[in-house]
Amino acid sequence: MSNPVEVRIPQHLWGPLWDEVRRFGAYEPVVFGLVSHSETSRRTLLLVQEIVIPPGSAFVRNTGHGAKWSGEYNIALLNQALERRLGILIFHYHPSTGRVGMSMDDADSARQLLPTFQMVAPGRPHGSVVLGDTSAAGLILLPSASLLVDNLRLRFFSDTLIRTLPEPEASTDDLQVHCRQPLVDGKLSRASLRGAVVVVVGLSGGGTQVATQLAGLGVGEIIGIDSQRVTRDNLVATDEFGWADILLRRRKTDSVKSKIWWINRQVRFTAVDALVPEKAAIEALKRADIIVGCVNNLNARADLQEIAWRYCIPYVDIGLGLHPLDPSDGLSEVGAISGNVFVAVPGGACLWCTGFLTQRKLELEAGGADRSYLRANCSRGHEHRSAAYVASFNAVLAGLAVGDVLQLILGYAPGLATRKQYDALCGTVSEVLVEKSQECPRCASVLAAGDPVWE
Amino acid sequence: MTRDNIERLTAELKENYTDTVTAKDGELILVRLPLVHFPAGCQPSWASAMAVLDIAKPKPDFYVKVVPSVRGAPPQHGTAVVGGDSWCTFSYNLRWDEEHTAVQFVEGMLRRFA
Repeated sequence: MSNPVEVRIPQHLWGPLWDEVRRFGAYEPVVFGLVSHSETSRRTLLLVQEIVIPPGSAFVRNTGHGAKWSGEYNIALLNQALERRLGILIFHYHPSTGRVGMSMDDADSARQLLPTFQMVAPGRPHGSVVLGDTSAAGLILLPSASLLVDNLRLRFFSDTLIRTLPEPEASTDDLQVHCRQPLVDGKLSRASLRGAVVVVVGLSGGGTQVATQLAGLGVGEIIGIDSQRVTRDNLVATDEFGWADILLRRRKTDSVKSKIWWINRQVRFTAVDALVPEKAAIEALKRADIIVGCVNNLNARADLQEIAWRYCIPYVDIGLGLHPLDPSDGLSEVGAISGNVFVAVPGGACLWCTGFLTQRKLELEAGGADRSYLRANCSRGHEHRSAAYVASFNAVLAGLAVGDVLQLILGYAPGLATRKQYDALCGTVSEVLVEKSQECPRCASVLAAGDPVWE
Repeated sequence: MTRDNIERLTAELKENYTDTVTAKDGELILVRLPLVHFPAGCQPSWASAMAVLDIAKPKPDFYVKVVPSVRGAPPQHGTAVVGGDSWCTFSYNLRWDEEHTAVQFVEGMLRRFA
């Protein structure tokens, strides 16, 4: 049996797609999605890279139910997909607040069209998807497969929330509680949290506190990625480690795993003792519904941003810095203690769009050399740094990050700030306004890129 | 590198390294070489490699799946995400320009481990 299929649609594409498929007109509207894909250990991801809205002139009169478009348009569409090495998804809409399904006509047309698409572009999946108000269904033809798959769910991103269709079945009472009070421990909120996989990268000052808070909330699976053992420095950066961890030279992942077991035995903690971007870390990241990055260097952030964008995974990044008044003076007073929380929702602003990451900054961090020197350079910097009492500051950032994770899963607030800045000297948190750059080369080349197709 | 040279280099790699495959990743052309041999004395003696050809760069980026031990010690290296996969990166200032051949590039980069 094949893995379930999950279609992911970035934020900037969902709005136009949803508006178009529900448009009332002379013919049933359809929207085409050009998709890449990726196989993870548990599901096949179909990642919508671009949508194509056919012009009215593409449609031809259809005696039966549903839309029909011309052969000429079909060829143009296939050429476009072929040139981009992408598959084609056909989206349409059935007005229903209940479960939607493919009609007989829809299924017949999928059985006819999808093998033709596969013949032309065999390396990518093709499919037909029907959208309802709270559910989705469809038939997908995966690369090298001859049978259609109907085990499908669809995930799209708004600027405040991840929404997955079909939504869990619920009574009217449960729905009402969830809609009005998503933060109340109700059946639907609990199910949403239990169904989530959150990867926490870096289990030090911030990451440990993120992981334990997520466990308290009942997130179904937390994957912790860190290759280090607990050291004395960590004790003043978080309250999640203790003297015994140092005495026993425990791995950070082992220590956090036992802590989480004490907090909530329903939560599965998966330990990955690796560095990003080692293979084991990448495989774990690909399974994530949300990535929380608590890393201490920009090159690791660039890697996390790349994985998050490539596979359409929301990425919450936190970081704290102590900035001396005179960086060249080892005994300089602290001028600022500032923290950042950045929430990158696929299709929205990324760390590159906003200048948080630049090639120059990455090179500077690696000491002017390429990243093969980064590890040595970072550890050299670490030798000269003393541990700082920052557990409480890390706790603020961890709390903000967990609040954002909760918002992405439950949608309890009307908005989500993309970037928040924490001034620990004043004790204030303020929103920094950022905008997605239309010229961002990373968004253009990496977003929803999936796995490459080898030829 | 020019588009013409990228095409030429890709074709050359496919011709000279058995089972070489290519993929387009955004604007980049990825060329995966399933088997390249490290210089004598390296352990392991072979690995798969990846050349990334970018129109915006004067020469390809080169990665190997495994960095070999040279006389018992692995040289300084890093890890990078390329096409969604993990590859080892290393620093080596090879004198090469796009008028040279792709084989000269690959074999030249592998001399880093001599």
